[in-house]
Amino acid sequence: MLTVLGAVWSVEAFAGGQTPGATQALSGTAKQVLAWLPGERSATGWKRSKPPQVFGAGNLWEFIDGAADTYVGYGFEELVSVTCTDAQLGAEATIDVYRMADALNAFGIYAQERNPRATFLSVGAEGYEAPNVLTFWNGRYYVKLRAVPAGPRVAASLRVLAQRISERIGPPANLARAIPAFPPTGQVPHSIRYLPRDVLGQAYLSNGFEVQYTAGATRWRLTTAAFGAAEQAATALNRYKTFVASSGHVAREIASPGEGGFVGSDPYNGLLVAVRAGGRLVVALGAPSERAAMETIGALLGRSPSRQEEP
Amino acid sequence: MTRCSRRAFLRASALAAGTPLTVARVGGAQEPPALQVRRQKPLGKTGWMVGDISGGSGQTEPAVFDYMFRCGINLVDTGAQYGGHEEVLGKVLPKFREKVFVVDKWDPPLVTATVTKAALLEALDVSLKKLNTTYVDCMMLHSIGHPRYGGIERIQNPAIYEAWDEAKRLRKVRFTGASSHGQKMLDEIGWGIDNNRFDIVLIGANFLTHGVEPLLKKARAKGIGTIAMKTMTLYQSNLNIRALQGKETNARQACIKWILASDLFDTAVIRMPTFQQVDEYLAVSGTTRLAADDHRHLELLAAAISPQYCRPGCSACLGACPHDVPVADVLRYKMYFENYREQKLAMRKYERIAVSERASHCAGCEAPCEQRCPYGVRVRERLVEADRQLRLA
Repeated sequence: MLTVLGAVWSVEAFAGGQTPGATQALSGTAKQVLAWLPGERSATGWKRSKPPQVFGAGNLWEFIDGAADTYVGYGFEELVSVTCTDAQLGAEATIDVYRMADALNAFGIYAQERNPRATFLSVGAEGYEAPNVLTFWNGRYYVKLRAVPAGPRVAASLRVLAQRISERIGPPANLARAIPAFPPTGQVPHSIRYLPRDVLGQAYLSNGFEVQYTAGATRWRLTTAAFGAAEQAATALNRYKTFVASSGHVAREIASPGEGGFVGSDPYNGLLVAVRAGGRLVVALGAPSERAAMETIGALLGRSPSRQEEP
Repeated sequence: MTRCSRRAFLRASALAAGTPLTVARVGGAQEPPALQVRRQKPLGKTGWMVGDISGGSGQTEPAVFDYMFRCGINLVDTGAQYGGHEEVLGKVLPKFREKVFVVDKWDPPLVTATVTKAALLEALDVSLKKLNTTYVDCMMLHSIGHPRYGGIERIQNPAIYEAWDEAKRLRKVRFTGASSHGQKMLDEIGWGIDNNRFDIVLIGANFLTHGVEPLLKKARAKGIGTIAMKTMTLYQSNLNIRALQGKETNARQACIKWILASDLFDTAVIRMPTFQQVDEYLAVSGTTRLAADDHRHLELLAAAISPQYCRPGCSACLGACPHDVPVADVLRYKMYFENYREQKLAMRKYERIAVSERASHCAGCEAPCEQRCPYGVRVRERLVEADRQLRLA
């Protein structure tokens, strides 16, 4: 282990690690990110082996093809990608640092791509590793490291590298006020997602979150969408009810939790409970019972007041 | 009064209202949605009859997949690179497994000139697990012909074909192929076709794209399945085309109808993240000819962008310049400047080009690049403009 740690990486100031021509061509934000990454002249460990690549929202598709739409949907701003080699490890690594609009969107794209079966790590706000890949988010940055060949020494080296990058980004952001306080009982770990648009596949539902729950063998989910005003939320709820009525079944209206809504079902999710509370919609999909759905929705609304109700 | 079936009426009403069109359950039985795929074709020699409208990426809600498949969409395109997309599809796929043809793709950076068979098979297993299935119908090389991922040596790596053979033997893959919309699309897809490497090809094309016809003809002659993608890439290029999209018009549908009516492809994969988009695009299924309104929409689009728009897969101007101006790069930087509002980025990229190879030469040049352009893009005029815009910075 000591060998690995000793060989991993020595941080090099960006100004000393880049050719003058390349530095002139980079934006200030890209230079800042590059300063967090291994340089060309590192004495030991990972060394940058190719010129860095920088992409914006307009040309991200050149780098990640069809996945670019999803990133742009999460407020992608700039990507800095570098390739490094470590002679002692005989490995090559790529480090991709995506700068998103804010911490919530960085969390959003991270959670969208998160593999819940991976091994989670304490790096940045949250991270995980899979063979030859390590991914984490911190602040407004989403960071992916990939190395070949895979192996325990390379994996250990990536962990140290990720930790160093994360420390340079800064302390992890606290999204406690941004993410609804979903009740913990039965909640599937690492399952919260942020959905900036197309919540529940509906073009008119946006600014949402979703979390998975388990109850025995049943896996179900709670989804939210937020609006600027209660009237907009009421209109959206009505529209969603019309959709459910046409594609499935609306059983009855309910007066609570929140300001009420309806109980129904759809062909994919089965039982559906949808309510409005101020400018928010909360929908339980596929819950084991109406009661379980209502109790969890009630607990959520009790734990996190809507924005209109916040002081 | 023209006779109008109930379904046609419902369809027209729903589309006018912009609401998804489904039919309520009657007596507990689930009727199929009213909008259905209306035309199918053989997908090459695979034996699969594929609907003319197929599903692309972008879905985050599994119920949208459920709806798509109940509407008769029977091919879906996914890939390891589309973060989380395989998992979302995997939640629905078991219910429809025998009814849906799954096209999956390895992560592009994985496929290098030195990648091993074992690494490719391991990545396939990861994808199968996410997709919740034991096999994919087609495993593709993703984004070949794209300089970012390397040259043709990348797809000439024997390990790829050994991995495909092994995966077929293990019944994890039924067919193989490649996707491309890069500059070297014609060369690299063509190489795969000539060397009998692909069962299916997935190609970037739209109503402004010409030049892919010989490639498609060659593919068809060999019984290779052909799938179109990027049929509306024009929209993504932010060329203010959305301004043409009014209540009374649907230029997006016209773009898809052109692909369907052209009969160049067996199917087209279309990104549809919402129920509303599924309905919008399914409404044109079965199109075999364009209506007058469609022609009008396409003419408007073409007039707006054709003289400026470099088509997917085209590299006709490469190497034409006596001054070694990287024509395609300069035009792309100009696009960043004008259409993506990335002026600084465009200028920085232009600055990286050696002074002797910048477009300052173009004003007095006979422009062999323009003569080579098969689409009539006003190359010289745009290069001169680009030099003025990007140099001023």
